[in-house]
Amino acid sequence: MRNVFFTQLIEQMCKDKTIFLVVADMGLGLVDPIQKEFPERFINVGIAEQNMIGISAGLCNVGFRPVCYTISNFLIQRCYEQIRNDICLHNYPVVLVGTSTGYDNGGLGPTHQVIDDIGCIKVFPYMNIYSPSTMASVRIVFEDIFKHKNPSYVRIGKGCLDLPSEQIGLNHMVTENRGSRLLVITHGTMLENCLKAAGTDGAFSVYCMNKIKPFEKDEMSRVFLQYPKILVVEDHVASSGLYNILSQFLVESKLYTTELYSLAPPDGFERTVGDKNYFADKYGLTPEKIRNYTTELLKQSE
Amino acid sequence: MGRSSIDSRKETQKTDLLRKRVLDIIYQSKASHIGSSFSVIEILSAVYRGIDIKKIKDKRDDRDRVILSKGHSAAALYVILNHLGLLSDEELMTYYKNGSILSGHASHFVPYVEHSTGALGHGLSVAVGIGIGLKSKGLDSRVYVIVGDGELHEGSNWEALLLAGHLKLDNLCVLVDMNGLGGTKDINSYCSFNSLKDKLESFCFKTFEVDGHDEEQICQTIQRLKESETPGAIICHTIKGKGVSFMENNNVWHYRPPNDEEYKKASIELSKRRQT
Repeated sequence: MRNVFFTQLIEQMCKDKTIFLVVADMGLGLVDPIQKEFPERFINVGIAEQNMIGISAGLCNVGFRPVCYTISNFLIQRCYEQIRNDICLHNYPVVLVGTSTGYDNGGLGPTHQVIDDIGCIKVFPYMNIYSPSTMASVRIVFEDIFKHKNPSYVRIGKGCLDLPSEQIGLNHMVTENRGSRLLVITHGTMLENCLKAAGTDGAFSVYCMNKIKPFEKDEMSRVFLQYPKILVVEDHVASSGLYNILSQFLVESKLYTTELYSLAPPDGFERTVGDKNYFADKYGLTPEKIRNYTTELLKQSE
Repeated sequence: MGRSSIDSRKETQKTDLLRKRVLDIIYQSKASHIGSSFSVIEILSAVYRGIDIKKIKDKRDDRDRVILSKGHSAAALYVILNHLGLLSDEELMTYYKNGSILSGHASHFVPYVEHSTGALGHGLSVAVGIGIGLKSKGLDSRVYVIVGDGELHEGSNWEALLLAGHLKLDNLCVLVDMNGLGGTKDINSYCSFNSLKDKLESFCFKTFEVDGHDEEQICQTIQRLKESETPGAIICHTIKGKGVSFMENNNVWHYRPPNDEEYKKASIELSKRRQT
């Protein structure tokens, strides 16, 4: 998905002369073509994320639209105050692009396990949050970002899921089983495991949210009203991730009859390391474990 | 060219008048940071003296930018904007009062304030971003950023300085309000810079040290730095609380507003010099 993002970015930079790429010494091999093509709209600030955000605010002051790129843990948490005060307070249209999300870098330890980024950034006014799930959704996310003039955070995990065009949208039903009493809502690279869990028999419906904040509340209400049980699957802690966002939505919309469930990593830091699949297995996020959990939920409904 | 004592006296009269306005608005609203606002008066006044105010009024792309990174000196900034005709008297008098947009730290909600500051260590990066952006657009405008010496303890400043030096960002001018006092005491007593000039020069900044209460000297140094092919820095040696004897170098005035009696005494001091 990273490659798709950079392809989109180059296209957009050709069309829109205000886009300025700011990187914090990341993007080996990916940023070189941009630096070559647009040297006056590219800067590598070094491993200095606070400076990257402040510089981006300054670029906005003179009319640029910066895209900041590094891995998500450094992008969000290292420069939290800069994002709040220099970007969001001014409602500057900076695009924060963070990679290696969830347990993509699980082996590198808790400093690099990005499972609380959405929770950190969702509290900031004006901030749009995207979590693209497929190659094609990156393009759709990109289009949406440049339709508005607010700040954005794009959470790009390691994945290369490709779906037929009829299954692609911003926030949409990917597979629908109208007979099922269960809907799985997911975002980002977890979509792949959810679709595998649903299987060819489509035991449950799967809804994908490439855009987490803000979302169309009427559309979401319609979705919620169709299913008595909803399971949120994500590679982010439930306490501040999509499950938390939808719980608030459920209460505010008085959708009290909907039962909302979660499959997600728990709060806390990992003492042990492992790859993406290790943590998916540990926290029930593999296709098999999602399938087992949903089977139990469906059994309870019978 | 030497300056006459008349010029020098006029300058003092102007800055005393500006300090009196700072005193008035802080006293009225029971706000804080009068010491920091007094130390930065000549610096701000000098910076704005050297730039085209009409371009700021017209919000032109090629205007010079001023970032007050030590945002707690907002009272001084608002008084200067008022002096330049960029902020009305009525608006100025709302400073720090309920419902006012004139917050205790510099706010971009106030017209002609480029950037909101208050959390220290932010302004330099923003100024570097402006400097990069201006160059990218082929504009030869300049960006001035005023930082406090205590503020320079924030590490983010050094990220910005390092990059600005590397880029030879010659449209950037950093002015350090070196009043020597942090939030509690003499900064040299808890985390000294040793020689700030050496440090800035090692970051490729053309650096000068000046009397931070000599507006003319600051102006001349700003002009000199326009010829520099590297970013510029002016270390302005100042006195926190400058202009009111009992406030000078006393950090109580970082926090508390003057009471009625103190206000009267300070007013007399500031107006006495104007009458002589």
